[in-house]
Amino acid sequence: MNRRKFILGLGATAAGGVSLLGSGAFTSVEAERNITVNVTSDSDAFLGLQPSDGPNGEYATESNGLLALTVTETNAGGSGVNPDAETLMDDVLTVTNQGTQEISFLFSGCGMGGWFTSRFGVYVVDGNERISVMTCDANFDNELESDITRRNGLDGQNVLESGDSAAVGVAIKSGGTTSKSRNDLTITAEATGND
Amino acid sequence: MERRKFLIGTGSLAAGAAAITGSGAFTWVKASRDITIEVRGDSAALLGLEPSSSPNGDYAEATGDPDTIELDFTDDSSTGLNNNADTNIEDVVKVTNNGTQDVYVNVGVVDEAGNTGQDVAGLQEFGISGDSGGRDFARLDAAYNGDSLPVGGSAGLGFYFFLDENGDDVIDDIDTLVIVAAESESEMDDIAADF
Repeated sequence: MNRRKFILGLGATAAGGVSLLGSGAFTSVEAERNITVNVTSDSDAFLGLQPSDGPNGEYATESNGLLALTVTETNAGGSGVNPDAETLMDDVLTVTNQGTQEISFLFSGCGMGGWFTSRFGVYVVDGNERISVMTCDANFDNELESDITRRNGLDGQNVLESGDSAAVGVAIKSGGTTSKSRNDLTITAEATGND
Repeated sequence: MERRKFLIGTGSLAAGAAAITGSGAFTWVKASRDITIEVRGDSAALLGLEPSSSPNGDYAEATGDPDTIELDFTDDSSTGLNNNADTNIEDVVKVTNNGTQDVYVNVGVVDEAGNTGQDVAGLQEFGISGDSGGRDFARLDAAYNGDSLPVGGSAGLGFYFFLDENGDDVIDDIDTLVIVAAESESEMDDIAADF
């Protein structure tokens, strides 16, 4: 409330200033002003990212407010995916639209460096189909989308109304060597009304 | 003078900011998060596979690094499997569910020509031991209920070969053995249909 009043006051003052000057020209202005931005954890953010409530939520963790996917040790005593195998994990993390507009989301990063023995895809489950929501490097595209996620083509399965959630799974195609790979997985969400 | 002009700018900026934070709308969000994937040997992986400690475990061997399980039904006896006969070999591989969900386990074969299942020449039937309905393999662990393997549970996996008079071709022709674990019977049937 106070802030609004303050702004109105400034406006009035400024108008006076303009008339005094006669010309609005200036070369540069630099000023520091307060801006209040609430940065919150992934689970509470406008784009909510959380480990799933289901059993495969074990493959995701939130640490210092940031979600991470960790396909490593399991509570049951496993320590990674099998070599030379395809592993699908449905419902690892939940993407929630906690903003006010309809959004669409996509993941990227599967084709980035460091993945010499393992490739991965990210998908949502729609009925019996796993639909890729991952854009990959061209070299990985076909293999991941047809073999691992059995992609039939994305048809709005990555669109979330305000308040809606999507269950996201991870597909891994591992090679024949022991490895521990770390990479960035990037999620991009965009309001569908903005092109 | 400059100060006044710049205050106009501040006023409008602040108003804009208030509108944005008030609605919770976002145009887009891009966030990168860690993904870590570990590939481990069969013996330590999500679907643990290792030679059984039973005598029939001699038909299986863990080889390489990371270790993968290999099956050989010729080394242990110089004659191998009988032609035109049914052979059941139980408890060859110890299967452990190191994942996060109960799983059903099944096995398929692929020959050098890419044929699967009974299309492999001379193979009338092939499957996992003790199998009447499809997946009741031999037990090691009391926790195994005969239908699905609980998280943390182990069981002995065996194999049966029903060979016709062309059986001696079969063993040479079988190129790949596919072991599948899935969290539901429908999922299992879906994957096993390919083998």
